Amino acid sequence: MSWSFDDTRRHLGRVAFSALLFGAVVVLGQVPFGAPVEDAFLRLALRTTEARIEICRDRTHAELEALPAHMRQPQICDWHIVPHRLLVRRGAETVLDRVLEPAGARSDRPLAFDEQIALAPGTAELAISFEPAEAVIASASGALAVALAEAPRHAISRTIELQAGRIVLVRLDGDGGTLVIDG
Amino acid sequence: MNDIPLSSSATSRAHPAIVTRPGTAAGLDRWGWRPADWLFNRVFGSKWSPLYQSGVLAVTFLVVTLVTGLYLFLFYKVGDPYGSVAAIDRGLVGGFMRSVHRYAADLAMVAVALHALKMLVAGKTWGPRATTWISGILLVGTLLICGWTGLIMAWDVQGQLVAIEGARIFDLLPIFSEPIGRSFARAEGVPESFFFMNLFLHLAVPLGLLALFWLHVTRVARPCLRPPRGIERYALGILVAGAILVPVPLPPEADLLSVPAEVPLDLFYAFWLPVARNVSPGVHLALWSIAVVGLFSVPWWWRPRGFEIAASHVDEGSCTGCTTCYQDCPYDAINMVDREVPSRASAKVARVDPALCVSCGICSGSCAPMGVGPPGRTGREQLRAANAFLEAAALRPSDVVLVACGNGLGTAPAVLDAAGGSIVPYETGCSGSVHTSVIELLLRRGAGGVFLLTCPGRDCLYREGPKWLHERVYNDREADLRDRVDKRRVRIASFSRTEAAAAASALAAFCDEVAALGEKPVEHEVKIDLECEVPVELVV
Repeated sequence: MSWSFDDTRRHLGRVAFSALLFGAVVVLGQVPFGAPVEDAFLRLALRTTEARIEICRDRTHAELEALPAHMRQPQICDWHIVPHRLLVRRGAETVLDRVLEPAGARSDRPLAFDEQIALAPGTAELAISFEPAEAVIASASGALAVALAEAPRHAISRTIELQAGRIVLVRLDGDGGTLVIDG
Repeated sequence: MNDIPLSSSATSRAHPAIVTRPGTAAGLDRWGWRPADWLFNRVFGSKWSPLYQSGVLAVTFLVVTLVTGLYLFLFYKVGDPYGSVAAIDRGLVGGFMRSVHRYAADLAMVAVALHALKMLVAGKTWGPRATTWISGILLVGTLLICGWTGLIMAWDVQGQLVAIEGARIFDLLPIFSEPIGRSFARAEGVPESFFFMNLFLHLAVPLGLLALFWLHVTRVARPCLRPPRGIERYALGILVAGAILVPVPLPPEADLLSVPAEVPLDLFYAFWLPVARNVSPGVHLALWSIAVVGLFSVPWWWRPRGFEIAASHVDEGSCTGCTTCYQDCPYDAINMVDREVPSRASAKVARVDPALCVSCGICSGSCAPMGVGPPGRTGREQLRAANAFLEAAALRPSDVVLVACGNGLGTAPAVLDAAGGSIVPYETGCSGSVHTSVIELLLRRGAGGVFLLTCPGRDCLYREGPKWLHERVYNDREADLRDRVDKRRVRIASFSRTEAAAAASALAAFCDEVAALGEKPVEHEVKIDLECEVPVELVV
């Protein structure tokens, strides 16, 4: 097989073109994305199963007699996931005021909230509370009212330094424990 | 040049190319695909064009990711994802392997995108090919999952962004009992179990990819899994050289309590991140849903209106049970079944499955007794059309008939004008469907030569047309061009749609060769269809 200058030129052309294509792949595989971050962020990542309130009572003898033998559970329980109010203040300013409803088609999922709020950097006095919604407490009666009065209420206040590009994480320690601020 | 008008379809077309694509595809072809096709053919030539090897190149690059991935897996630690990747990256071999792995994954996605675009432009997305299209989209989906889990594995700032934004989308779907996003709401870092699950997905999903790949190629008779050796070596050479010269950098480590200002994005997999950062998760999910539904429904909306595929049929009286059409069908649409009416010709007879037939007509060219083919395009009907053409054309002994596949370059004026000489255009469907008896008829009834212009082998709309034509003309495959035909007067040449000048040059050279052979006797009464009839004694 003879080798000509044209062959060499064609092969060099192919290599150059391939290098160009490969270069495009390299560039498109590492495209710089984003911009200087000027805000600080407050990430609220809360989840609790303690919003579930269970109210039980003993079945009467007549109720038990009316049931088939294998269904005679002595106690009957009813439970609710209580909507909670999440309130975040920075000094006198309200940053977030939201009532969290239980998720799921039967409203039976644990209360959860996961959002990131942009804040101006600087020193901030943060006050966060997470407690049963007032409207629920007001409308409750009987055993539910008693249970709600005993339901845990979470609150935390702290002065923190918010830095541009940094995230301050607010979470519940464990499964519905105390409020914690990280970062 | 002969004065037969090109627009005279009754005389210049044996059986026109079938419309397989919708009108909108023509625009996509003209303004998108064809310029790229032209550019690649200019640089590589149609024989070496990567555009015609997109599917097999994707397979090649995926195999490379698999091999390099196995190496990287040996050193990856779910307990210290970034640290272990950084350690791999510091080593000479490890850094090289990681770069090859990443570039091969990117190139695989490029090849897959080109492959899908090629199918869209050609209209190879509907009818019997719908399964292939849908399995292809599923393959793209699994490839994306492999890519995303791969980016997360390194747990750098890009992986962090992919994980967090991806979780925001997935958490909208009612499939997880607990939000995934909570995994990233921890000051102490992401739990090891997350990386274990991610690694499992990164390894397990490719296994699903293999199953889908089987489904993807199952509808074709002889799936091509590797590119020609030269192209394979060239592609791997470029990949290796690129990985050595431009190693993939490792971005900074993920930090869950930091919003990175700038992230190096791999647009081949993380192309959606800019959208995710600027719209709500709900809108983003809606966009994904529209894209997914749109792609999966392509077989129903990306197709020519009012057109149905006319499947081939078999004249069982002519079938000798030779199995050639069964072997040559590129789509496994023909089966050999027991005859319902006994015949001395054979116990088995060919039968077409209309659900698999794409009406390419390659079976027409494969059948010596001309008993199979799509309606109006069997060998017999091709001969009838050729006879009508010859009546109208009144060929001169120096004329060369240009038999051209209408799916490719066809009888484009650019070819005819540039070639000069006495050329009579005769446009057909896929070149593999042209019965060799037509070539014989054209020559015996006066043509000085027959120039068969086919698409490049890997660019054939029906996969194997040029291959089978070549075998029948030159290698005595069943339905072969008879020895009584002077094969110096027949030429097969493959050129893509953007190589009109080269095709014209080859055609002009052939015209000169034919002229040098001198004139030959002309037969006015040729009854090839009767010569090929199945002997009466074989039929009950």
